Amino acid sequence: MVRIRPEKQSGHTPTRLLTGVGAVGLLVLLLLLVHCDTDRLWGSRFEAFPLTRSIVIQGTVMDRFQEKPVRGATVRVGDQEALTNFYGEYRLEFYLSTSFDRNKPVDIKVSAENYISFRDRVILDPIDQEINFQLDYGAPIIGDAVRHVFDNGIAVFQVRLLDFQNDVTEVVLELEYKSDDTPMTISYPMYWIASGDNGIQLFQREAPIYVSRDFKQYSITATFWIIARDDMGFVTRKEFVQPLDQNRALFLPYTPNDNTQNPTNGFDSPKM
Amino acid sequence: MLTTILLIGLCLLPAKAIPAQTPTYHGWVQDASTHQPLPGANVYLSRSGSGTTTDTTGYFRFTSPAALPNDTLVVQYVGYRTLRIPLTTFRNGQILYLTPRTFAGETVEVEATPTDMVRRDIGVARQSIHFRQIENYGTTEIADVFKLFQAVQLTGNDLDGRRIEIRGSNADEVNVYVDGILINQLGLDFAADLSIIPVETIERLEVLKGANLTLTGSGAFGGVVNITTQRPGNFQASLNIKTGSFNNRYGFGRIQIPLGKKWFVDYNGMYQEYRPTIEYYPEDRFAALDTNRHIFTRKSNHQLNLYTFGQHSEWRAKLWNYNLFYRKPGWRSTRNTLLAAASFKGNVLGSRDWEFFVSANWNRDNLERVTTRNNRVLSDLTGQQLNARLLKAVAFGGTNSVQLLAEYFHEELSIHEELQTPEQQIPTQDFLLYDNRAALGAVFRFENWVNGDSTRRWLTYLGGRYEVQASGGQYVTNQVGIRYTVTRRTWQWTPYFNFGKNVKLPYLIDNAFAQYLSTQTAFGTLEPEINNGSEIGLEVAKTMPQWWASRWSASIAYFKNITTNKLLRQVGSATEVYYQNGRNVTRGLEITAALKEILGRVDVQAGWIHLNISDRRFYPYKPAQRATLEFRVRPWHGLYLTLVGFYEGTSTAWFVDRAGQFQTVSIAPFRDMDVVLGWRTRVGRLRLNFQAAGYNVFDASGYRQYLLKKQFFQLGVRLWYE
Repeated sequence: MVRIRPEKQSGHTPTRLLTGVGAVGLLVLLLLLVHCDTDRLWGSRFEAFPLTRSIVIQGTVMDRFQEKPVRGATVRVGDQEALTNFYGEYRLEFYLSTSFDRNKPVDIKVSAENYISFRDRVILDPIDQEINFQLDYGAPIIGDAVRHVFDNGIAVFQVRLLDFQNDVTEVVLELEYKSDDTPMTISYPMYWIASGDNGIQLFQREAPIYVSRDFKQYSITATFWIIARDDMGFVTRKEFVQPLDQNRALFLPYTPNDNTQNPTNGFDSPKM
Repeated sequence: MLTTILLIGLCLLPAKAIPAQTPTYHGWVQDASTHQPLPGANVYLSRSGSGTTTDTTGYFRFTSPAALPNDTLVVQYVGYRTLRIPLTTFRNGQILYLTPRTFAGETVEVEATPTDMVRRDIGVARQSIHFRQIENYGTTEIADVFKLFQAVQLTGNDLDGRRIEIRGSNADEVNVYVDGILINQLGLDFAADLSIIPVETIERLEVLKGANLTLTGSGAFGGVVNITTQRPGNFQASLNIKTGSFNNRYGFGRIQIPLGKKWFVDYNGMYQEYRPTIEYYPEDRFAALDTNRHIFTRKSNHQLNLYTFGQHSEWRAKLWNYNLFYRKPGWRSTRNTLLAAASFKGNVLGSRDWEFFVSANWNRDNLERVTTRNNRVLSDLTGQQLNARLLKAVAFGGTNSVQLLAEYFHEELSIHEELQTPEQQIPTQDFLLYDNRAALGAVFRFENWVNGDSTRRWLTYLGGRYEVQASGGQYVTNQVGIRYTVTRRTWQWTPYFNFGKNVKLPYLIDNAFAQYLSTQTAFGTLEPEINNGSEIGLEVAKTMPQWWASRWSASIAYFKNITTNKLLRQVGSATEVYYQNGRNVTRGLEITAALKEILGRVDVQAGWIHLNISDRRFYPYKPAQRATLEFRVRPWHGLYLTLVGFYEGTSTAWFVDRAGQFQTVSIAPFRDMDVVLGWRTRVGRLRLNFQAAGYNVFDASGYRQYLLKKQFFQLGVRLWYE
């Protein structure tokens, strides 16, 4: 504990010393006062530009594989979003709150139809900046499809499709049959034949030209659809219209044997 | 483990009850002129050596197993004349009046402490603890000490600083004075960072609750914290070493040396490093917690105090440096604070009771952070403050007095920030802000006795403050306080009432922001926030010279704070909320109770507060209920045990959602307990204190203010030589 012993009659020297020090101190203080910027000591200044940090974020969204702009893509930065224009360009103004001064990462999400969404967490620079994105086209691209009609009442369908992720799980053939003017649609799963370079895949399916149902004879029409679905849930559907007498082949193992009831006979199982 | 400690502690309790015939001494220590209680005064018997310190109401009680008939009772209090009375003339229950230390035998009305301003302010609800209580609690983190106070909430973290909130206020509505230095100004948002104060340097810590303080409470809608550090005196050296969870290494040293008979100097040094684990909400949406274990914190603190007195004067100087280094991945910040203060008190040209105080502070924050692209953002924030204060007390009409105050504040802030890319440096922010203000204040204090009966005493305070800001504002506030004390044998009843208006001037960064906004939109300028506070309360104390307890005290207070012009700020990525039309009404009920020296060994203190906040956007994260329970047990032979239990009820947070709408989040209540077990002993001139403790450390380390608690265990030893 502090114990202080006051001295009642112990000399004037410290007092004199202190007075001297005080006088010199006062002089120095006055000199400083005269010397310094007095507006700073009796004025005010609140000019701070820019104090709020509103920054502009802009850039383009491109297709990585096809090297073309992605139009109408949504770019979301934090709570704000913008759409890309015809040239794949976007622009948004963004407030940097105090939590960004704490190195808080912001969520970025770029999404467009048939593209794989891009997500990231970035710490933004406190200046205007350009952020460019490249999106991966996610949906399978159905290329060419052909039909070859055989005399034994079997038509062979072949399709070539492209998927950059190489994860097509299901390809379905939809055929339109007609009896008089009554249409009917039947779906057949296609089976995998081979994979080529750059994610190209070949699928094939045999189907009967005539189908009997409800005591009616249905015959195949010029229209058919190919539906491809991949692992990420992207679905592409494409319609083909080919005259029945146009027969050609996309790739070789297309000749069917007689056993149309077992279409996988002689081939590897399709990739499911 | 905590339960075991608790059980051991409780088993020790009845181990040795005091025989009823042991002489017991109890009474009050009060200021002779103001009749204010003097908490933390040393009371002891000079020959047998036994003694104690007074509590918050100035009450003391101790037993002396070996009382010598010709012993002397000594009462010491910093800044007062030591009182020595023969034990034979002392009567139990007597009020001992201390006179302020006089110069050359003259009577001086001013108490010679650096806290005059606080003592002379309006009589609001006060609670204080002194160094012994802090030592028994043993924490290295100052914010923890505030768990011993009722209605005080802890917030903040290492980086923002440890902050406190009183009665549901915000942290920037609590003024914190350390030896007269207002440390709020060091922070960007005017909230005081308490972590710059090493716990061991504190002599006394006082919390003044309520918005109605004239001299100290400008803008303090919650209240005022007044910290008095230990003053230089006789030769003493002490060393304190602690280690614990999160690789904590803590060291504190103090040496005080008298230079001759009139000059005293002391030095306090503190060093701490640890690796705290931090939990935070990365999404601001209170969904999932994330943990960061790669944090390193280092703090150091140096204080040099010089003290001298002349025949009619007293001089004091303080030099204080605080350093913080904080590192986490992608982040490195350093803070360097230097505070210098000097004060003079005494006679000026034959006129009495003058006090002059000046402090100058420099604060520099350097931050280097790395963005995702490996660019570096370097920011350099420098703050400077100057505060000068002149106080003069005038006594009139016998028992009445007026305390006059003139004050000047200068604040300036410069911010420079740049982005460093591998190719270039781009400045992003560069500005200098400053403002000045001055204030005149006066508190009149009238003291009256009812029909000349000294047991029935009126105290009436009338306070007023006029403040002028260089940017143009002029504001007048006024406060009224009434206390009525009735003393009847062993009872003391004090009903009190206070009412007043308080004004909080907008601080620099907000003024700058408003000015910037007004160039963009029709925002206009900021108005000061206004508070109208009223409080009615009752303090009751009873001494019980029974063998099982010595003193019982309780208080109840009902208060209402109406704040208008409250500023709301929230800048989100898409939304920017910044407007000033807020009105909030906080109503609260606070109840405390304390029982002293149960069986001569146990002190119990409990508190409960209920808050009703009408607009939680202005006052988020305030628990509606808060309760604390403190046990202090001293079983025998220097052993001591402190248990602090606390409960925080549901609180509410808010954010702005994507649609720009306010959304509130309810935060679950929690409860826990801190346990400290220690042993104090003495070997010749060396005193030792061993300690083991388990604490709950509060941390608001998220991107938003939010309290998280983590458990912290610590072992410590302290040595004194005197």
